[in-house]
Amino acid sequence: MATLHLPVPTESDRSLLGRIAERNEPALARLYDRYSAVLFAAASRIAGERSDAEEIVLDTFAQAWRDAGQYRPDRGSVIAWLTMICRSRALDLVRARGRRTRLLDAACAAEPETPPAMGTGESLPSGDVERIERRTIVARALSDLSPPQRQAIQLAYFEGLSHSEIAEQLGEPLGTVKTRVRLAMQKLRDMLRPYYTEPSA
Amino acid sequence: MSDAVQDPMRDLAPGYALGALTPEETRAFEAALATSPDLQREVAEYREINALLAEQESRLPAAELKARLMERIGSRAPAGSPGARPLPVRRSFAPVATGMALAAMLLLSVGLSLKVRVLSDAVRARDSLLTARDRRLAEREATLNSILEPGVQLTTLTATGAQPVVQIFYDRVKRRLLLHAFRLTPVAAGRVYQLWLMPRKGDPIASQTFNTEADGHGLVESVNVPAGEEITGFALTVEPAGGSRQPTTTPFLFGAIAASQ
Repeated sequence: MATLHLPVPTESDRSLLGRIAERNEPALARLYDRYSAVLFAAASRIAGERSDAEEIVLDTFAQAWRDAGQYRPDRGSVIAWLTMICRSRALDLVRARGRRTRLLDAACAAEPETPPAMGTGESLPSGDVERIERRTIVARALSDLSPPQRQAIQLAYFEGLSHSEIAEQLGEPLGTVKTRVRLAMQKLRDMLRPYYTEPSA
Repeated sequence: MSDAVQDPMRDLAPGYALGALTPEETRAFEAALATSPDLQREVAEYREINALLAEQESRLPAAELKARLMERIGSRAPAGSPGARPLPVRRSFAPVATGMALAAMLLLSVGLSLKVRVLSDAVRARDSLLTARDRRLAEREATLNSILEPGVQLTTLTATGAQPVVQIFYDRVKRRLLLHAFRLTPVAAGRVYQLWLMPRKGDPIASQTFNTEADGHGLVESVNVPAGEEITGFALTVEPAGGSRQPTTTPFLFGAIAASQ
């Protein structure tokens, strides 16, 4: 009998999703534990209402349960897939019911130099060291953007506004806003590329 | 697609990934996306950025949400729209010849009944939550047991090149195993690794399918071994997604269980 001193690694997202595709409920529970807090925060920022955000998170994981077999690992990470589902549902909801003026006002009142949404929020429940490190790196990348670019990301990503909504709120030409969002995302991509696995075509 | 057409589309990729385009722009972009691997890769990269940005914030949803999720996807899922808990309609059974006293009793009865129902719902929600937690705890305990119990045997599957390594922690008593892989390159889309249980007699028994992380790590827990089969070893093959009933490729890793101690 060998003596075992192996660290037991955390089961990977892909492995969990593979088991979810085989209708393994504990695997779904584990994926939920891992990502419900970040998805709930993302949904809350866009949807505003807590109850709506919870329904969005519920729908996101229910869709993951239903469509796990359709996930393509070569098209990106599991969390990118979940984030895409969550944001799509949140954006569909707010666009269906009309834009929330309250959150718009709050977003536009923010100083572009110190966007309050970025890097704030409760601490991660899991204490996942890698994730905390990534947060620090991403926060640093955001701080490297110019203040207008950071504001563009603030409004487009964190608040879920469209280009035209941002242009309207800031009173700037649509083309300027589009360029600003694009350059900000390109810059983030260039800075953060080492921290995700590049999807294949 | 020509570059002249593709460049403006490429400019739309960040906005598309953010969901910031107009419906017209979205339709045009998706038409281009369908035929352009470059655009698909570009969008996928921006979605990775979205995921990294998502990690900047976290906020715990209500504790009951997980129980609701498990209820929704499980066999106990209620029919109809999620979250809807229709109360049975109470029908008046004898409206005739009822006095004030009876009316008061009815009101009291309905009130109490509704209160009981609300409390019952709360208890059910709490039970679901506890069940989900118990399940999670049991799963973790099973993982620990699977490698720490005295009767567990370690079998290491190796290749001739000694590159990938797969360890199997097999608990003969509980007929359950845990698979730990490292330096095992992930298989391409549409393919999976499949574990095979090698019985003393007969064909290999199909077991769990899995894939590994980009760093070559993989962990599969709580794999059940069918009762009544004496397992003498394990093998690994690459199979089509979903797995196979019998190996369709030659096993590239094999390990025999050591004789009983």
